[in-house]
Amino acid sequence: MKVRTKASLAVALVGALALVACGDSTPDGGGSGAGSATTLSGEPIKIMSIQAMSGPSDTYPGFPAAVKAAAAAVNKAGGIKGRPLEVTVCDDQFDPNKGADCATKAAQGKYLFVTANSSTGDRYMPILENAKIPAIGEVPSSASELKSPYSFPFGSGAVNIAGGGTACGKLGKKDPAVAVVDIAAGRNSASFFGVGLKPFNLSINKTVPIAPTASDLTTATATLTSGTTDCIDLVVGTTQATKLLLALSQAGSKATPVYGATVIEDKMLKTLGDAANGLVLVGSTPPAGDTSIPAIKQFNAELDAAGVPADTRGEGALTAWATVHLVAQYAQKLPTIDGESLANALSTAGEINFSPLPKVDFAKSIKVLFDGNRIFTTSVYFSEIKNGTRTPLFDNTAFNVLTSS
Amino acid sequence: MEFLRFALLGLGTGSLYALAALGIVLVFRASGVLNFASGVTGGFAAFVFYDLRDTHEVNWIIALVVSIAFGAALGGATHLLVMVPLRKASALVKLIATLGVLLFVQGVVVLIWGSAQDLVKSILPTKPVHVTGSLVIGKDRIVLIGLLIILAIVLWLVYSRTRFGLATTAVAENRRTAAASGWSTSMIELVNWSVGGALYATAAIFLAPITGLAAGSLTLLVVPALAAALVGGFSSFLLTIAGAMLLGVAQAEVGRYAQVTGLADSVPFLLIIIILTLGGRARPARGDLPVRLPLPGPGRVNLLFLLPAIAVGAVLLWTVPTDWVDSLATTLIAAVLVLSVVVVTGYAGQLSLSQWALAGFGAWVAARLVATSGWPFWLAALVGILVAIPAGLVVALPALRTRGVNLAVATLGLALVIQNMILNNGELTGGLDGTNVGSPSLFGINLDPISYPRRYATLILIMLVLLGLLVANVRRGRTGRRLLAIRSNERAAASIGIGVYGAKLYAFGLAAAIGAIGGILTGFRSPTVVFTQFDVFGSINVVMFAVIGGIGWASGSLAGATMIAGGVVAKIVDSLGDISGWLPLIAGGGVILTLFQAPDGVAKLNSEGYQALVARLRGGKPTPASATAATAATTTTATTATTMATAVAEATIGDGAVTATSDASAVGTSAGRRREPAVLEVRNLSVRFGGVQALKDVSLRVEPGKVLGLIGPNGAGKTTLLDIVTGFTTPTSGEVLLDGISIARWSPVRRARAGLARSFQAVELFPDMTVRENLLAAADSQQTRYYLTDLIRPGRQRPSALMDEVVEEFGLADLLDSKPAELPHGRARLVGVARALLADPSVLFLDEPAAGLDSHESAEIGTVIRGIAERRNTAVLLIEHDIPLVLGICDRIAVLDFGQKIAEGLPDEIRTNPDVIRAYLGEDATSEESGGVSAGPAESDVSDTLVPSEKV
Repeated sequence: MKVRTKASLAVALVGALALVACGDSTPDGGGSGAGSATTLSGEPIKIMSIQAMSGPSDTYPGFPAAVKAAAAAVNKAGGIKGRPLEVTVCDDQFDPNKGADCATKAAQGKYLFVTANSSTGDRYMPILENAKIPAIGEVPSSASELKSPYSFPFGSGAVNIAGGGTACGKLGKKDPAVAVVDIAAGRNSASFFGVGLKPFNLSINKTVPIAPTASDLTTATATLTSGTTDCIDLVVGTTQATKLLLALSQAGSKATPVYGATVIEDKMLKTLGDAANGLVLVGSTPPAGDTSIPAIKQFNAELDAAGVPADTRGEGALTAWATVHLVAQYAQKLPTIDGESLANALSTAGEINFSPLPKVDFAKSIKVLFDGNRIFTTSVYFSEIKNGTRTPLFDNTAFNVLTSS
Repeated sequence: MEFLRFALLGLGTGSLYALAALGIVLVFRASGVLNFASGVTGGFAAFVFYDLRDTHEVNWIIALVVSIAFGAALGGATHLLVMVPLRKASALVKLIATLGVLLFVQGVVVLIWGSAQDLVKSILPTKPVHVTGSLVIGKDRIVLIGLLIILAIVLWLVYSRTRFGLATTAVAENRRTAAASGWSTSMIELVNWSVGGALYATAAIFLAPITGLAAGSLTLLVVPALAAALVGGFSSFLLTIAGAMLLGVAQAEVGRYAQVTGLADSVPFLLIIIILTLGGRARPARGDLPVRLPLPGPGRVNLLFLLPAIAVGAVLLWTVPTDWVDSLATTLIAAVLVLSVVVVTGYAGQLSLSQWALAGFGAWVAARLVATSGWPFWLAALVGILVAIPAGLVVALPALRTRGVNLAVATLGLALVIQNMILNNGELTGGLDGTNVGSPSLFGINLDPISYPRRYATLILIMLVLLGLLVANVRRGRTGRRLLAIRSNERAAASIGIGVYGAKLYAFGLAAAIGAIGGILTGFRSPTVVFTQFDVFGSINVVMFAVIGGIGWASGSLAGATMIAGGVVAKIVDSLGDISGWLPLIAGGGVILTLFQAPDGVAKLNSEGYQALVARLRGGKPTPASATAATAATTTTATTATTMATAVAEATIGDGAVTATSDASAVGTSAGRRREPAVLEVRNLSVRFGGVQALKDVSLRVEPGKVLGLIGPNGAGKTTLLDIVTGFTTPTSGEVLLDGISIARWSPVRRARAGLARSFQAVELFPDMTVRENLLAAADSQQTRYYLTDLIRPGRQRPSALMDEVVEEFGLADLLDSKPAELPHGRARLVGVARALLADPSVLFLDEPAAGLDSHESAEIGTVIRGIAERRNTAVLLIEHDIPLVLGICDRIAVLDFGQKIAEGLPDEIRTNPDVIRAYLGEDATSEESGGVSAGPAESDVSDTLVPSEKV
């Protein structure tokens, strides 16, 4: 009996260990010396990338890879005052509790800053704020990230969505529609599309909600393409966007699809094949493959050096990479290298012009529909997919979504 | 035209649901297991197919054959490696095991192919077909619909026209009987699981180009697939396809014409639930077997263990690093949620897959009150908890009319509705700004979980302890006995006056309130509440934690909850290093192995270990409970014989009849008598089931202090009459009068409470309760107030004077701690009679109490029955095939044949009645001089099994 009970409890524990894994398959990637950290003698400066690396939805390994590549480059160049950057990748697996756990770990470890691309911001951002650790260069997808004074985004989903309206207007479209993920934030986000359309005296012709769990999008596609719809902004996750683009292509849709470029990677475009033709991408930076811009050339070189696959490099990764370099530059000037000092420096820096990031002034938020949100830039770039290749639109010019100029 | 267009598109979507649903139905038909791993099994095969075709450039037909065979092998392996070892486990444990399989297989798929989604090219043509005008549908959908029709016809033919199909049905209906008929049940189940796997594979290969090829993509199809299977009653292939198509069309039309958040996904579910609720049955039919659940715990609170555990918990919360505090808090909240499952599923037996959604609902109410009206935390939380109760009652509505897997799917659907229409609704959750609740405080103490995580975690610990005690109280009190009674057998529960509806509603309401507490504690952990976390899969996970910990054990709540993502075990795993890639695989394997070792939950194992330890410390050898019970049963048989020695010794057997002596008056005294004697009268009772006239113009009268025997061949309508009188069957015409008052419209519960009690032909004791609890359940006052008072003060199990007396006279004292399954057959029947007697009846109906007993035991029970009538002045209606017994103890006897009363009179009149002799007794029986003679059917040992013809 005793042996059996012990064995049983042991098995139970194994089960327990196992179950954790079910929602918890990838723990943080652990600390990374990011290249040549070992050659630097100072106490490591810890930074964290909060990402969903596993779980029920699409993941973007390009983001943390870019952070690591940038840190390696910074370390190779001598680090920050002789101290190496140490990157921790924390996988939140789309789970709010895990997101909170990541933030708590950052707080305990006195991390300098966090860069994130996660849906769990409402859990991790308050913890970061409480610990006075800034989240920099993240893509805000929660109310907390849009409000917290410790949130320093260089782009915004709202602006990208509004940019969809700008794109439709610039392309001369007359009958725009929007497909939105049918969750709390989705429908409200759709209204940003109208902001971009406004300068062209256009309004949203149709809003089609798409359940986050929908397996078949033919019905939504039929609704979107019925009538004279000629431009469709896709305010959905990449999984749904991929399916939607495929369904639009199969339905023979002539409407131009528009999508935020932040999480678009070449891998996805390859997968879509012909279905991606005509897709217009909107981003707060120039395309990550536009090596005519020196900073982007450097980005690709550093990622090449770090062995990051080329097809995982998108604008989100570019922003994360640039953020590390920006922080390294500011941290060099800080008398005390900690989160609070860094946040203060950024808040009081005035206009920050750091290519390829958009110009921002973190003391001056810009109203896009609502007051008080941490939106600091309203400029966007456009590109188009032609035969599987991204081609800059409008000569790679940035446009203001509020004025279309 | 637009309507038609979307209907056509909906059919296309419906074809996906149907494909996913067919495999689920197939496996459920054969094994009674709801296979949540169906999607990932098919997904694995689909990965194999596309890998072979696209990476290794294998001819697609060969790849297709290989992949489908692989799916079949995977299905068969699931059966052999997981289901066979769990053969004796409950259906719920098997369901949870399929979740383990899901994790395991998904882990393997991710290890091989990664977790990213791939788009793959369909093997079907995908160009759109312009039916007419704007009526467009993809060619692939047309092919899929055609494939479905072919599949449905093939499946229908195989399962209705072949010996294999019939054997499958036989195995599903009754494994033992099928085996006795020469079928290899294992082989039949194996083949069905394999065919199911092949179906999953086929479905996944065709669906992947539409849904995307990813480890988890087909898992999302499980909810609509389950809804479709529900329409098909988890048995009909054609109805399942029809249900899937209906679901697809309804979603398409609602999505087109009513663009309200979540409505398109919710309305079809609501319709299904309404149909299910209206079309369901208030009570299970005679012969319906309840879904077996893991054994419940006793609800005892061991302070010697609990107090130190609380102290350790508190010390940990205030000493470990804050990231560990977060993990502990996550675990403790999950334990609160598990407690809600313990109440509704563990105790009441209602499989609810909506607890996490109800938690979210409670959190939503409380959070909105704080965010929009500035209510203080405590008041908003209180209202959130209270408002969750009616929400729980809404979820309970299907439970009033349906049960088992249907109820599980209905509650899952309602969870989806809550998620889609409330928690995902920006209009209701604050839109982009979200719902900002700031920092909670209580009694002036700032509980901000960000600034003061230890304080907040302490609040959670306190709540868990209080709720754990409350749930344990429920188990120990009258309420617990009521809930366990309805979990075990709704008919038997109703027969002793337990309000089945009330008990179910109570369980759902209480569980919703507990869930809401967990939800509020979860929601308020961040200043802006994250409502998306309250998803349907969370509800399924909570049940999984409950099963692993011990679904009927309050003490098991923490054991299972440690496994939640972000919980304690996750933290431990984090500290082990980077073994992330293997974790899902280990997870699934761990769950399955845990279920192998502890099918009734870790808590039960721990309890047994604790008892063994205590016994050892006391210097004795641990004695397994069953052995103790068996010993007691044996002893008691002897004791009972001694107790009744006087009566039995005096019983004279002559003229083929058992005659009770005057000592019978010692049995069934009038202690604790609450009800006045009453007369039951049945007038011109008729009932027809389809084309069968089960009863026709039957009239009877049962008087106080008298025993009326009711005899007749099997299928004569005796039990049907009893079912009508006690309210379980509605007559076509006729009257049932109790003391002259018509009770035709009364429910079984009301009739029981008015003094009609019965025993059952199949005994139908509550198997998960001890004999003591079985008796107490009947003796308990059924007042509603105990539902509330038991939460705080369940009281001790004090038997009434009547119970003491019955226990003594029936010789049950040594059996009180035994489970019914541990009793010899005769003792079990005696307990059944005792239970009916403890309901303090004015009229007692006994349905074949002597079936399966030997002549000695039969004489014993005859003495008991006679004593009940004489001493208690109770009217007794005795249905029995043991003719000597009937002739010996009955004052009058009525005889039924083919639903008609062919005779009624004194025993001597009946014995010599030629009609009765011809129809039932036979010449031999009447000429027998010795005792122990039964009419034909009684000799066939009717015992616990319903004779099929009795079902009319």
